[in-house]
Amino acid sequence: MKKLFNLFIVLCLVVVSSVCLVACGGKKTFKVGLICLHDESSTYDKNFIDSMYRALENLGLEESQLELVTGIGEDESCYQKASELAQTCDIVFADSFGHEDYMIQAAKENKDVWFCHSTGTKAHTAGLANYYNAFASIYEGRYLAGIAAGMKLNEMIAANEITAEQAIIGYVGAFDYAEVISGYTSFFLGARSVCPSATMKVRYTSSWYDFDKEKSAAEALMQNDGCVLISQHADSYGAPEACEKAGVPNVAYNGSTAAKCPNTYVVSSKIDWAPYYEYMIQAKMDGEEVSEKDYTGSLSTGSVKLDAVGSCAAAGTQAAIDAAAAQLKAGTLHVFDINTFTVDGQKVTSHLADVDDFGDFKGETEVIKDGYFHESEYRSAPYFDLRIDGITELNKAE
Amino acid sequence: MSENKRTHTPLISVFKREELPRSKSIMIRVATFVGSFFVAMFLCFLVIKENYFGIIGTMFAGAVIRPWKLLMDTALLLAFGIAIVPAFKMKFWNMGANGQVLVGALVSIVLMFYLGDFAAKSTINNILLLLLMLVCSIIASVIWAVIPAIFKVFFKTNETLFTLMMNYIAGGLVAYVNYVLAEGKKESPGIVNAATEAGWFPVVVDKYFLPIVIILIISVLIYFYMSKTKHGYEISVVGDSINTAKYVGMKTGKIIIRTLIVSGIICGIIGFLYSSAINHSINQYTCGSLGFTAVLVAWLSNFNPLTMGGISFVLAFLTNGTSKVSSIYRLGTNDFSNVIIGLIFFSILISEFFIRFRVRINKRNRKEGVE
Repeated sequence: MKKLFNLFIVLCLVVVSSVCLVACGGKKTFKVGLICLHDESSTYDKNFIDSMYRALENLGLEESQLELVTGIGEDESCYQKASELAQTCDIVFADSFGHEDYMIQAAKENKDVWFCHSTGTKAHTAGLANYYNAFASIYEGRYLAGIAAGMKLNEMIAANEITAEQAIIGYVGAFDYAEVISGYTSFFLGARSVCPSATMKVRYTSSWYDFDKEKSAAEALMQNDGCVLISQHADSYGAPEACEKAGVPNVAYNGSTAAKCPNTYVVSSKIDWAPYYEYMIQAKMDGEEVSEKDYTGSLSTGSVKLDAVGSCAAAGTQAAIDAAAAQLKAGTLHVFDINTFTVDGQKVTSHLADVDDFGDFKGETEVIKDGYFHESEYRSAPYFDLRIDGITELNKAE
Repeated sequence: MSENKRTHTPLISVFKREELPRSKSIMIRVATFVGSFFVAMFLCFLVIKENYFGIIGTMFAGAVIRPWKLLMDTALLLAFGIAIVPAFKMKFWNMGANGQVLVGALVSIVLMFYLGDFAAKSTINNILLLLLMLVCSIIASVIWAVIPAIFKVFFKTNETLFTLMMNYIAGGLVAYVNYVLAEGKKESPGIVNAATEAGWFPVVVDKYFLPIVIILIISVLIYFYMSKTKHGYEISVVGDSINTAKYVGMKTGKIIIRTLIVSGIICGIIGFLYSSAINHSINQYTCGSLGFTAVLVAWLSNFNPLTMGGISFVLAFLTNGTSKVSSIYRLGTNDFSNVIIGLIFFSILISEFFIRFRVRINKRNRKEGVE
């Protein structure tokens, strides 16, 4: 019986192999792969997925030319999925920071396929022709959103709802990585540019996506820490929904929360990945070389965007945002102007940032020149990690 | 019929079958597999609502799109099966293969991490590191496997729960060590020594070729260990009846511990292969649920390594194929493929039950009982 059973298995193998040989006709049409950490229920991943569909539409590609995989962890499964996609796709994108090592490994083994990793840090040092990083100068978007927050605080002060000293912003951050620090610092600087008495308190959730933790952190900031306006850098609706319930203004990220939180939504900044996707896909389709390892989208490329301001925003917010955006585009305003912040009471005139990510967590690149911190210029992913005065971290990321 | 007899007549009686004719039992198995496969694919069709045969085609193409990966998945499942077989044959329910492999892999990763610079200097250094990783990985896994065995022998603890709990401890340990290695800046150091490839297995034919060969060699050795050696015989005697074993003078405690050492050695080698040749990284979920799936594989194959290889292949084939169906037809994560595989294997388990047992519904007796 066992022999016959084994024979059956062998026969199965033969049949299967022949069917597969027929089924695998090799690459026929141009295909794009997209690896996402979560599915559309995460505002972070939804932003990538929506951007990709827009890019495909703009390029005249069919949706069937996209192979979208969601729920891929920042581990070996990412390498396996990237390697699998490389068999059918011409270009593979991934959306989460922790995917990077695994994308690089897949890139090493599949030289004909381009691997493009958003938010990564290693493309400029990896020495691979087919591996790329991308980010956007989202700190500019955060700065503009900060202006909206500052104006809202001014409105609350003017209406005697709070005093100038009570203009405390609460911020729910995922981890204390440079990406988050850069985000909340630029947001704070934007707010303080219009509301000089503003201060900020930060609580970390130690997770990129945890509805309950984000909700609890926002509630703690509002109820215990005296925060009168909340923003966040984490991917669920936890913080915005807590704000809506408490009636506290919220500045969102990654997309408008106006539909779910109509009474408290102020404005939202986000990265639109479509310009980057279009640029890379078009180049791959045309067989063109892309020599820059890092792509930093900006306000000018249409990669940094703000959604329409909500009904909760102060009067004149949109005009103030537009004016500052014009200055940022023109290069007459710099978010991290060293004259606008101090660290331990001192002006910062020199800083070595960990731009080359070799896992040593040591700074090696001077990033302060011409009177401002050159964020996202030496590589696309943020590396601003200064803890400036006026911002208090209430807990540590685990 | 007496009152007493009436109350003791069950509605359903299950009897162990006499061996079915080979052709018949094979027919049942084949029919169950093929039937459940097409039913599962029909379920896919109901969800996806696209060409039924197109889905099956995607499934087949997806399974073999990376042939070496398919063979590696097969070999890994076989390896886990081989690791638990000695203990299971002894009726020591080792549910901790995942944990045992994890600690081995963890020790290897830590060595790779700290001795990477040393190994990168020369080939000999790299070989020395690989040997050190192998030895330390085996030691760690053996310790992890033997602890429940010692408690079972000396304190009569329940090994199923004990080995299960050890999995959780191993998982927690991995998360903690990863955090330490990444200096708290990330969740893990990711792929270790990606630039230097120190502590990595050499690539021959394909990166998965050598690990597959090693696992095949281990499988053959374990087959002979179980079927041709005195140790193997002792294991089967203890498994059949521990009292018989004691009666004929076997030191059962010693046999239990020795067998778990063998399991630990195999798990250590698998852990070493994970770190040096397969993943080069580690997290709590590195082994997935292979340690548990292997129980199913071992059980279905009656502990026969060759059959285990075949079933492992079918399972790996289905896993890879349904995963591709999931991604092509946008079914989200791999959860859907787990449903499909679960459905097919649940059907196979039911057929195994009917091949091994006969069920009789006691209509007549029940009728009498009512009367």
